[in-house]
Amino acid sequence: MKRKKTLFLVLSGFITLFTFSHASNNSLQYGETQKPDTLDPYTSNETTSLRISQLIFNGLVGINDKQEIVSELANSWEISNDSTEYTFHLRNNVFWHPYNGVKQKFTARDVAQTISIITHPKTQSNRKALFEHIAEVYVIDEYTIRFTLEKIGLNDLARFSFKILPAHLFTERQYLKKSNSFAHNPIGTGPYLYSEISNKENVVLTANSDYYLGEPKLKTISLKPFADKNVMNKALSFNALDMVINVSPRHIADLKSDKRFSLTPVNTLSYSFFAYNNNNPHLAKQKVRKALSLSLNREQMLNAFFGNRGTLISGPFPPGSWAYNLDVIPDQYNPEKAQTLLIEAGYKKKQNKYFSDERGNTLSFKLKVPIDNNNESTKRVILAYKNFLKKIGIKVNVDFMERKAWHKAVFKEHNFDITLTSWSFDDASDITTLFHSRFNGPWENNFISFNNKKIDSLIEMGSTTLDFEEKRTINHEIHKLLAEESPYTFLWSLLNYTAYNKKFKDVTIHPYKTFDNVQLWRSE
Amino acid sequence: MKFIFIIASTMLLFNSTVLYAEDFVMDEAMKAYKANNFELATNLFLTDFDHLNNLGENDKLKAAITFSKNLKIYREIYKKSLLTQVTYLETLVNSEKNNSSAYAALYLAEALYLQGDLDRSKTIYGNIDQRLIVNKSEIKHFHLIGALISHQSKWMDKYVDHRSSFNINNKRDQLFLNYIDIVLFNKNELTLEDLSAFILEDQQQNNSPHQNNHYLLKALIALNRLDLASARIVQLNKQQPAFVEQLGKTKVIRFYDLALTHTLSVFYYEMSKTLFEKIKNHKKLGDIAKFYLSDLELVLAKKENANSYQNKVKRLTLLPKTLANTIEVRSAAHGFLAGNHNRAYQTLKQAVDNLEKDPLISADAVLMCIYLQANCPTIVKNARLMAESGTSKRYTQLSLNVGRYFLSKNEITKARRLINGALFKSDNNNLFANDPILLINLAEIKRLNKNYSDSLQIYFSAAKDYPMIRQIQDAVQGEYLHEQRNSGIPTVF
Repeated sequence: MKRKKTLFLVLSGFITLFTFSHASNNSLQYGETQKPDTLDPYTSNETTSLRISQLIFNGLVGINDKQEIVSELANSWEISNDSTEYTFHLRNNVFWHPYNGVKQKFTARDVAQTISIITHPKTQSNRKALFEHIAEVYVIDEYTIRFTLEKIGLNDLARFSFKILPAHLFTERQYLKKSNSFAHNPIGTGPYLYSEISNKENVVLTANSDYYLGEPKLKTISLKPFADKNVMNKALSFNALDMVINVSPRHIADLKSDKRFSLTPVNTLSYSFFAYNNNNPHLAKQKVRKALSLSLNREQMLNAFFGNRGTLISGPFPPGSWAYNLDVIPDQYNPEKAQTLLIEAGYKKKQNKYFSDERGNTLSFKLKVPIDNNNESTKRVILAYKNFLKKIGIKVNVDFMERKAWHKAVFKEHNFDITLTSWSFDDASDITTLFHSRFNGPWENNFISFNNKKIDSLIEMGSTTLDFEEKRTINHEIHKLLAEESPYTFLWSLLNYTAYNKKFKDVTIHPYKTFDNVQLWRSE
Repeated sequence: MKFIFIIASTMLLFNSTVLYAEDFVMDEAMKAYKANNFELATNLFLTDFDHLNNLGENDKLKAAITFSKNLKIYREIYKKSLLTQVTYLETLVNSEKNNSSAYAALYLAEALYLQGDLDRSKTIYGNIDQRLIVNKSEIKHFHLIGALISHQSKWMDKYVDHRSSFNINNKRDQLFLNYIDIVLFNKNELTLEDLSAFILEDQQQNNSPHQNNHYLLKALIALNRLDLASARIVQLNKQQPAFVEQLGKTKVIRFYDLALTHTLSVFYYEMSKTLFEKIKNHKKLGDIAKFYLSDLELVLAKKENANSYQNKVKRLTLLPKTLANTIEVRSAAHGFLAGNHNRAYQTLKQAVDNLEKDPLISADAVLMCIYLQANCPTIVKNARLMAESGTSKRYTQLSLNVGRYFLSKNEITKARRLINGALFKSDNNNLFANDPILLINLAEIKRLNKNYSDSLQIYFSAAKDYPMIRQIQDAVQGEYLHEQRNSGIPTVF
């Protein structure tokens, strides 16, 4: 009875809260499981931040869902015969979002300045690699800019899809950090302009009436963060939310049968993993990392926690990638072999319970997980991980942390042993920044400090070759080597779905950018 | 529709498991069947070939239906494999102009030949610099393809050249020529002793195990030695490329024996047919077996006995309702093969427009259009309206078949809408657990829309049960890499 009463109160609370909190006419409110770290396109490596920044910023070119290069801030371009020079002719009718009530024109200077800002040593960004191929930048005139390339590669034109920053906001400081006000209060040239963070922590964007492709049809788009996925899905059901970016597996069946909503598969190019910090001397040993991977019954976990809505993976690429090596079989659950590897690595089992090192210290690791991952499925994965490791004799202490603190501990300070997270890729499936030893500094993507000369060399060869089949072969080899090295325990790639209310028309959800053609979306 | 029929009749048959509960193979095969894993089910039967003959009539029927289901899936894989491989190999031939692959053109010529595009196949084959084909097994392959193309295109002087490139005094070459004769002319000159000698030599020399395996398999099927073929199929590595071209230290290109998928589908056809034939005179199950025998003819659009099947089908009386409902449609389809096109179109149209508007019958009518490779615009127009208005699971097969029809006519937008509709009408909340034919078509639609990652993820899942899909995955990966234009950096999801 008490449970029923509680449920009633919760439900009526939902209805009251949501019915009055969402004015939906001509606006779209979408739910995410976390607050965006920043709103600019460079200082955060989180999908939530990057997704919202797509609405605010433009590149010189874009790539549509048909794999075509399309014009954005550049109207047209020329490429020299030897492919080392790119000249872009910019649109002359683009304005920056107003700053202090003033609207400035977008020019070639902004493009040049963006490169010097992001490549500045003080800039905190994991996206500096995007600019490594550029040797020189020449501003020819207000609306013409020329680049010469350090070396040519495949898809060089697509590299000019990097987002352009407003030069006039970087006159004093020539670099960008997470703490800069620009990172939280940005201005861009995109279809939506940042309006406010409301007292409910919603990030509110309003339509840019000066957008060069015309004013978007939806007047506002806002991001509403939810700590709990169940609450977020309920909000969608109660019409208090218009879109859920990533529906939790347990709600798929309900939403599928509810005719008000449309479900679209997204982010097939993503996977989850446990990452091992190589700065920890135990985890620096390949045999220990491999033992951790072999100790998990991932098949059972995928089935029990995600209803088999996904596929186990064997290496650093998602199975939907061109680079995935189909000959590499995922590690099979083998706790006996895991223990043998630990013994071979010099560990002994104490009183038949936990392994200890040569000094007699119990083999134990700290697992840091962001608190917003404190949803049901993740909690179960963490608990199962802890139990599987306990079974073979390794202690795991779980530390649920506030997301910002987790992000800082893991990506900036590298102060963790193990963490659970996921990567999302675009079609390039580029793992350079994840495993090349050059990218292990603060806020960079090789946060596990993985360092393997052979992998470094293969990554370099793979990114410079102009031969498609060679590129594929090299990446297959990288996959094979990393599967053996086990810098992560590669878990699974899940079937993710975005759900939205069908009152929104002309919606096409881009597989990983979500809001690619947002200016066409409209509400009935 | 077909699928529903099979399920319905198999439920009828398969639920009476008490009699054979002790039969482990049967039980396991049926578990696999119910999980849509027909590959595993057929492999279980094939591992104990002799046991198949000792099965009771009921179980024989179950086994026969399982083989026929696998035949349909293999045909679907074969079609998609040719489409994806031709696209990929064309890209490869173009991009390898400045690089070094000597074999891409050979495999493209073969793929085009298999697709029925003889003119292009001949042109590409004719431009191959024979001196670049240096691998021993590939030289044989080169001449085989040459013989096939030249024979088909009445390029007979070239055909004689290809034959004369083999040494008739060499036992192995002689056997190979005999093999060509079987394939081209149905000349049954090989004896079992010859084959045994060839197998032995094959094992001893192990020169080109993959292709020899295929040659032998094809010959064994032609000689109706399904027992020997079955033993080889069970051991076959269906993911293995026919040839791996190594170009320097860091580049390999995998080429697949595309015709093997077809050969395997022929094997499943023969297995299924043999088993149905054994039951066709059974008092209770005979009519069901005959229904499926006629179904096999339709799947392969065989014209030989179409006239007699047109009437025979109508005389089947002891059928479950779901099968009985389609008798008119099936008869009309045989009639179409016999040349009675107008009457067939009329009947199929009536089936779609009937007053009861049964989506299962309509789905079967559209399926017939697919099997017969017929143009059915008016039939499909109404079927499409019905498919799009129906939201329940009963409309899944109709949506899928109409989608498949549009896909076969290259009407991608319509096909996408209907195949996606089929997915959402299926009551399966896990995409990966769906009917393999739905998954393969869904993946193909995604590829054609350049949504390669979704396509590959679906194929990745389907390939776990159907390893033959590897050749499609490899081709789609190659096409994806050539087509994709991104250069982004991963983000924390």
